[in-house]
Amino acid sequence: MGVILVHVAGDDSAPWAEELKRQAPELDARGLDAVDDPAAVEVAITWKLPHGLYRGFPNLKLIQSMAAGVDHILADPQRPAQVPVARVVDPWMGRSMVHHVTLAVLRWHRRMDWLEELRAGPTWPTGVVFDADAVRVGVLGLGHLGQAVAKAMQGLGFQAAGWSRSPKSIDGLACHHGPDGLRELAAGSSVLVCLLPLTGETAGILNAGLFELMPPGSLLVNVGRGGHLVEADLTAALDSGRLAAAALDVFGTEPLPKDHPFWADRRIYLTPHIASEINPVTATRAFVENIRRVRAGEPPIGLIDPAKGY
Amino acid sequence: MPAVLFRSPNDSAEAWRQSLSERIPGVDFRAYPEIGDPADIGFALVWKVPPGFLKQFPNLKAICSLGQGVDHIFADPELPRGPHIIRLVDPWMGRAMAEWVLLQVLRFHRQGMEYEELQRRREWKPLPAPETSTRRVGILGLGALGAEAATTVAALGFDVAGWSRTRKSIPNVTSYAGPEEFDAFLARTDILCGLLPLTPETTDLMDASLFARLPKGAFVVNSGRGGQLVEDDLLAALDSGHIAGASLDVFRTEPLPAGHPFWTHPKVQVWPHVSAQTNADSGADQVAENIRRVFAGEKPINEVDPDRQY
Repeated sequence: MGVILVHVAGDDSAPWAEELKRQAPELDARGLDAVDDPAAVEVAITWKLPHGLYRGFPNLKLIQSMAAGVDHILADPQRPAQVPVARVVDPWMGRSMVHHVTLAVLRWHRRMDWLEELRAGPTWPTGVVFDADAVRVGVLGLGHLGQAVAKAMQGLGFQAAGWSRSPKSIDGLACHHGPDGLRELAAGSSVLVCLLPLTGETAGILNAGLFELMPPGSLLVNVGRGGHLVEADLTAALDSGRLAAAALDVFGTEPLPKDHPFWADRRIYLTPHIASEINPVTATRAFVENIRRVRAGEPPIGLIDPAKGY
Repeated sequence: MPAVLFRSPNDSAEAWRQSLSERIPGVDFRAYPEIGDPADIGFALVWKVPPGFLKQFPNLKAICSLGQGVDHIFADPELPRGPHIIRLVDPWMGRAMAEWVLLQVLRFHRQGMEYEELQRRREWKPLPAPETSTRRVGILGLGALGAEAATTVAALGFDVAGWSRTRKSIPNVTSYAGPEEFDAFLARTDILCGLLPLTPETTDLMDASLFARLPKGAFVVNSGRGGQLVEDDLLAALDSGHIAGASLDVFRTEPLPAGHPFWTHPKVQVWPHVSAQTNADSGADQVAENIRRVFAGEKPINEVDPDRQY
């Protein structure tokens, strides 16, 4: 049996290796430092393994991402093309994402940002009515997470619709696709939630051209990747009032640099990439199953198509 | 047909005149102060009218509150005996209240207070991910509003219980009933949401003794009535660290006076009584039906028992 490499960039990999051993004591799980024979590495479970290292493992059977996204793996130009790549499919992460997006939408819908102004007065408005019918949520990306978010929004009585690159049909959900579909969705949405994979086609998709189709006072929620958003366009849309608020969990550079203007922008709810934080116990369960599968010659769960990028 | 009297400091007389005229053609709608002959008035649609106001109408058959609460009616020492007392049970209000309660639950659960503070300090610091299935939400009061809030929160995977005078059967919500089960309900509650009507029994219910029976680090939400919360006791429990924070939509005095310690307390979020507003359109069906019933000598829907006051 080969070595299971566990690597988490910028963090301690040991707790992950330990959880893997706890659930499957027979596995030989190791951190990068403990790998003495690169030929022994059979599966690599990674978050941002330094580029160029994958090709040094000649007997690799699976690259398992520790995230719902695989962009950190596909970005390695020397990645061995024949090795399958899988993302995490974990219902726990779906629930976390649903909670994060619901909180972001409700903060905007019930005008939580406004409480600071009231406190400064203090003032006490009367006759305020929040129009739930005006909450129309457009979800970009209709994978597991996107579908879970769209269903949750409908469950709260909000209108929801979705968009994906290629045509999709989902029971009870209006689905748009392609460039024209994207414009239709934006025009009909007061909230856009980005849950797309980051690919050559989706980079920079959240830009001025998209924002200006939305009704004034709208909300942007980015829980995809920082590379989806043109940052300067967001600030301009907030200044013009096209967007009233944004909830950002992902950024072009993470951690977000201390001097970045987003930190002090009161219209932005900023969180440090925690929307669907991975749960070591449930995610490890998914890793153990995928190790079993590749050893048995079965396709792993969450297998991605490198040509599409997701 | 007898006349319908309207008086409220915060609802629109014109909106109600229009919605009721559409449902009861030719309705004799009289908005205060244009009352005409007090003997003409058979039905009073009111919110927070001065004490003694309602005794001047000798032919009054029903008094209908413009909100879910009727405590403002029973607060009148000269309230005439005899007219039916009716409250508005508006489906739109239940949904609006559930939204607001969910926002408070998710903000505490997802460490919103901490992330808002980290953003102010420009600090990138992911916190340990919260576990939903073991987060215990307790709804105080399982009437129409409480039941809908409980169901909505439970649908997102939380461990939800409710406490009420009598036992309730609501899917996915554990029912605690009566004074003998109150301690057990409090001991298992991490997020307490007050949604009770104000009655002599619930006045001052949320006091030092109640807070002490909640687990350390519990969060307190109140959108019932301000008179249920002993404000100084909450401040003491927040300052001792036993209670982690509070979101409040109702207060003993509204508007909350300038200089009140809640305005500047870092652990208290003050909302200007906006959790669930009455909507003339959705409430009008129910009021129109009750006007018809009362004038036909039938029993109205959503009548309040004057002894229990809800």
